[in-house]
Amino acid sequence: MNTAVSLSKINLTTNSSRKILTDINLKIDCGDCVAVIGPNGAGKTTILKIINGLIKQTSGEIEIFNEKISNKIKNQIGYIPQNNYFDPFLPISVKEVISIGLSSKYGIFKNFSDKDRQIIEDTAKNVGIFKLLDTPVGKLSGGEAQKLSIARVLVQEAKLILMDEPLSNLDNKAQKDILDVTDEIYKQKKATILIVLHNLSQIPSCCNKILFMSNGEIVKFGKKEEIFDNKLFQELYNL
Amino acid sequence: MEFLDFFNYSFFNRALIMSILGGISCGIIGVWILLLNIPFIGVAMSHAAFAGAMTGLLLGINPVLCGFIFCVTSALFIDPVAEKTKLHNNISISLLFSFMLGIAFLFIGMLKDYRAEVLGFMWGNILTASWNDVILSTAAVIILISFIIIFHKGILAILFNREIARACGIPEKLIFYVLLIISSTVVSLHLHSIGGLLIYSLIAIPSASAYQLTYRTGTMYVISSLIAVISCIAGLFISSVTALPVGATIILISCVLFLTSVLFSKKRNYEKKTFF
Repeated sequence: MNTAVSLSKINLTTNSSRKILTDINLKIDCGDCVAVIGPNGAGKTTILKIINGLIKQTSGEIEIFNEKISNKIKNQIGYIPQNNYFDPFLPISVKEVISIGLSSKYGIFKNFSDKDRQIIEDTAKNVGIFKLLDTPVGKLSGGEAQKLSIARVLVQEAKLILMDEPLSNLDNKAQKDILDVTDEIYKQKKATILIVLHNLSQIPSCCNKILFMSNGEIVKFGKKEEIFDNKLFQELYNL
Repeated sequence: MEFLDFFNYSFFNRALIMSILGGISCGIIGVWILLLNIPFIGVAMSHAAFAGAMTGLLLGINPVLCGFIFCVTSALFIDPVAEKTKLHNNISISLLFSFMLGIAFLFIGMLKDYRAEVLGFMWGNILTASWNDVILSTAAVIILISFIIIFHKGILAILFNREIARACGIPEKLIFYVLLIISSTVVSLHLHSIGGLLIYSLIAIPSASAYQLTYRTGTMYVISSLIAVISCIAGLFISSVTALPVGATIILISCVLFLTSVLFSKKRNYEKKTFF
């Protein structure tokens, strides 16, 4: 099995020597869908940002698809951030935001062809935002904004998708929609997915592994069934 | 003097051309500064250019060149200072602004024989623009528009979200810094014609007006530039007829246009209809 993400002895400390991540060793295989869970301050978001190079680790080695992090590798990483708030007056449309995924895939100098425009429309249809293509992003609801982020990483054809709490601040229906879309893209695209979640009930059915973190350390990483048997995990989530 | 008589004077025609060129360039960089949410950078850059010009006068070096070097250097320091000090960009910009203002006023105090030049760089006077200024300003507009055409996909990505652009491998830092360098060039080139204190207004106000009126970035560039050009030309004519200071008149007209744009803003009317 090829390795999608390899973290070796990753440490991250602040200027005041506070440890954010401690000795993280992790190997995620291509095609895995991993739910990253743990209490607040566990380092879940930080680990995603280390993987896509937004935060530089204090020590340790990172390899994505067996290569060091570079812009070329980043083109294969789709990132859906936690905060999807847009200025309501922002003069950028849904279609333009989806096209950022294509700019990542092809580079910023390639002119889009009719085929590319068709890809944008088809992807918008797949995630259920086709009617909003010309809408300014500031007018989207929380659920629509998450679907937009998913559409952006889909046109990017990212082999590794990092989703940071995609269900936060969404109502039940919107949460279900996003989980269904996540299941669907996992089946269709066979991408490796890391999804940060707070609630166990939110774990998408496609997830085959769980990464359980606490206090900046990996407490347990393994198959879903194995993690549910972990004692600390059971205490924390009242299982 | 008849209205059309103004066109017989070459200094007035140069000022008119500078109004159009300065309006276009300030209008465009205003859009970047507004959408990147770093409004204070315009103030910091203009004061850095002003401090540079004062340094140039003090040391006997070309003040515009010196202003350009100060402006670019301070623009390039903003992100690293914010990163090192863990402060928001706007805080690091305000630190730079204060530092530059300190330098500018220190050197003004040391300059005994350059009162007219100091005032020229502070308030500017578009009527004193030379053909050399016109040529440099034309070059700046050409570079600015070429940059937008060539890099428009990258610019769009960083205007939307710098973090996402960086995360998906778009050369965000490169585009951001080129954008700052071009903005610094525009600011320092118009230091003498528009003035170190007034150029920020010409960057901020037209783009804020355009922001009220459109949901498209391309249209925002056009409206912002148009409002800046109209402000400059109207200010030039009004001040020529009434003998009011040119720079101040330009800024006050752009303020009136901003209030008008708020009044006729489709976005605001839409929000009212929808939510109230």
